[in-house]
Amino acid sequence: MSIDLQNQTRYMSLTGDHTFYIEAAIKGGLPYQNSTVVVYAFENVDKAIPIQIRIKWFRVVGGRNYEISECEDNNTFIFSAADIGSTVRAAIKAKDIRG
Amino acid sequence: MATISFGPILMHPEAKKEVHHLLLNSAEICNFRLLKYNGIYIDDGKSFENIIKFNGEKITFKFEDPKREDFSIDIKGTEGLQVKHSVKNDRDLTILFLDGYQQYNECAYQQEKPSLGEDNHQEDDGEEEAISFLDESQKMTPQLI
Repeated sequence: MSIDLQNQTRYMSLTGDHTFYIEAAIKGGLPYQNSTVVVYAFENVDKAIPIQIRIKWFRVVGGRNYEISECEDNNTFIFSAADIGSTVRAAIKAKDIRG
Repeated sequence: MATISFGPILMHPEAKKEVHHLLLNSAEICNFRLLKYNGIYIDDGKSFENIIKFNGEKITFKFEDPKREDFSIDIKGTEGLQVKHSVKNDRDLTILFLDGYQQYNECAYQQEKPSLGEDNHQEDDGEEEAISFLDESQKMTPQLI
């Protein structure tokens, strides 16, 4: 099945004051519940140097953010029927690997 | 910090077909609960008791909240679910199906608005404004990254 990437990007939005480049890889097909997204971060748009990130996932229901704690620091999110009707949001920070 | 949002997430069209299959199987219908009703999400599913009656054509739900009326939904062939009797401003009914192994079965159904000819007897209980507010807040404007 062909995937319409341009259509899928309609269902993604990126905001924030970050100074790194973020890429989201989609398997399946947004906006449907059988999709999977993997989030990557790089120093620059050339994607030569990846950086580690801390990531928290939220399910937005009725304008409220419900943290999905079991997915914390996992850069992959697998959608399910529980996500239907809601928006899934990832809050991403760069992680200092020196501790 | 960066924030990336996905959605709103919709049910896959193929999953809708599966819903119809489940609806016709009374054995599986017991694993069936509401996610959202009257524009309000039922976050933990505890606001409702599960189906209290299923006769092959109609499913009846019971509210745990005594202030709310029980309601039924009709099964009408391949058209899916339609609300026959319900509280006022019935809309955005989302139902989550569980399969026989108690796992999510990627099935839900978003109900269309009832026809204008429906007979609604429920008095206005003051919830309408709150429901409208929730509906507005749920509107998302997708943007390109």
